[in-house]
Parts: sequence; structure tokens; C-alpha cells
Amino acid sequence: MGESEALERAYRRWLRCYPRWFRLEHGEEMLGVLLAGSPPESCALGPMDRLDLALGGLGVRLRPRVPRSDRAARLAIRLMLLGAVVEAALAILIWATAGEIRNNIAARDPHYSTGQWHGEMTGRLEPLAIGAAVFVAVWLWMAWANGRGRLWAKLAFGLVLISTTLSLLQGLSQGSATYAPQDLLAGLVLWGVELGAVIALACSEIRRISAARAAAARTGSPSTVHTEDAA
Amino acid sequence: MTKRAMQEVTFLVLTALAAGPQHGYAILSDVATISDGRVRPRAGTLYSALDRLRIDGLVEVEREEVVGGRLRRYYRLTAEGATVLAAEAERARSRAATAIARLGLAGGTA
Repeated sequence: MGESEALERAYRRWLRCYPRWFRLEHGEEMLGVLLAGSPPESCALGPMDRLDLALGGLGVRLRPRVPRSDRAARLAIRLMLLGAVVEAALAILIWATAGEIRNNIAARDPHYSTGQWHGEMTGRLEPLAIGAAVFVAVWLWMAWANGRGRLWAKLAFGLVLISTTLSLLQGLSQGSATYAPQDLLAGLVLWGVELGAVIALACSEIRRISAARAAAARTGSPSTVHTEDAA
Repeated sequence: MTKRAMQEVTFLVLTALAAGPQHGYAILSDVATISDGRVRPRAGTLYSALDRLRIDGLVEVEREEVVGGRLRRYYRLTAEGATVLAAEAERARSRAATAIARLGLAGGTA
């Protein structure tokens, strides 16, 4: 009896790898399956059981909860992940090429001082790299939240697009004074990815509302469309 | 547009449910039987697969019962799940037939 209780406690501990809502829905059921499948008289989990529960929990926490049939929403999530990859590549590129930039400047201007380089780093390159790193987190967060079908995430991503568009237009209206050609190109690529994701999200939402209205019309009940919000 | 191949565990879980509703532990046992013991998913893998399949509308909960103080939930294949499984099975049969033909194994004359 003691061994069985110890095993159950151990399973319950490892089931915490899963989000709370999932444990509330499936925890007791999974516990039953785990105990039924455990070798007799065992009182601890094997490493493979631990790995299986850890990966399972991670999958439930991170995997999009959008059906495969909703291709537009899935495309939007993929585009957001692509945005994160591009942004991360930019951050790495800025850091990796900093030394080369310094050498190029020094080659053109022999009087270029360490103080000037420090100013360039802290005033321009570091904010660029930190900004890119922050945007990686924003892209990933948006991908995760939109993968949960959250309405606020769709609206928030729309605001991100508006903000990027305004920033680009402002830069362009100043004759690209604030943008180097490479910055402008990177900005345009990311803007294109954002626009694609917003269009995909809009298509998904329109299809969902149409489907809900059609279903309501079939059943004869008033159409009440609400966004799926994962528990 | 190419469709991504279904994972083996997913295919086996759907196949297990094709015979009728089953609870979690019965699905695990059935998957092992169907695969001749080659595939033995653990509970975490099974519930990940069931979670994905429920999101996609391929399986649904049929009923719940409490046995020995523990919740037991029975899952069943939906109509869409049956369609997807049939299509995947047909693809597997077609691939296997091609492989057998190219190896000259048709008619059991290997």
C-alpha cells in the first residue's frame, strides 16, 4: 500500500508538467492509466516515464490549439514563427558583424577613436540588437497566444502591424534618413511577414464567423459568435 | 499541395478506435497488439495524441465512468476521423503495394 501511494504521489508530481486546465480535465484519467500500466510493486517512475510526461506537458503547453482544418490560422502562426527566426537572425547578425563594422570604419577613418566606437555601439548597434531580441520574444508570444485562438492576441498583432507600418512610413517620409538600405530591407521583409500573418488571421476569423452563422441558421437559433478561448 | 504523413502512433490510435470506443489503457494495449508489440506508447504520448486528435475533431469523448474510484473516459472515432483514417490506410496500402511490386514479392514468391 505504501509503495502504491508513493508511486501515485510521484505520478502526481510529474503530471504537474501539464498545465492546470489540462490536469483538471485529464489528470485523474491519466493517473489511472499510469498506475494501471506501472510494473507491480514499483514505487518510482523510470527515466523514460519522466521524459514522456515532461515532453507531453511541454507539447500541451506550446502546441497550437487550432485545428488543422483552419489552415489560415495555422499559416498565420507559422508566419509569426518565421518572423521570430528572421528577427533572431538580425540580432545575431548585428552582434556577429560588430567587429567587422568597426574595422571598416577604422580603415576609412584612421582617426576613429575607441570613444566614438563606444558611442556607435551604445547609441545604435546595441539598441538595434536589443530591439531585435525583444521582438523575437514578441513574435513568439504572439504565435503562442494566437495558437490558443485568443481574440486579444489577434487584435494585439494587428496593433503591431499598425505600429510597424507607421514606423516604416515615418522613415520613408524622411527620405530613409533613419534607415540604412539594409535596415530598410529587413524592415520591409518583417513588415511583409506581419502583413501576411494579419491577412491570414483575418481570413481565419471571417471563415469562423461565417461557419458559426451558417450553423446557427441550420439550427434556427440566433447566431452567437464567440472566440474560442482555451481554458 | 502535399499532405504531411500521419505519425505512426496517431495512425495506430485511430485504428484502435476504429473497432469501437475504448478508454486510455485499452487504447495503449490495443496499439501494442495492432503493432505486434513494436509500438508501445506511454501515457504522455497517448494523451498528447488524443489531445491533438480532439482539437482536429477526429476523436471525441463518448462517455465517462468511475471504476475503482478512478475516472475512466471512453474515446470514439468521429465521422471525420473515420474518413481521415480510411484515406491514410489507402495511402499506406498503395505505398506497400508499390514496394511489394518493385521487390518482385507479389504472389508470395519471395
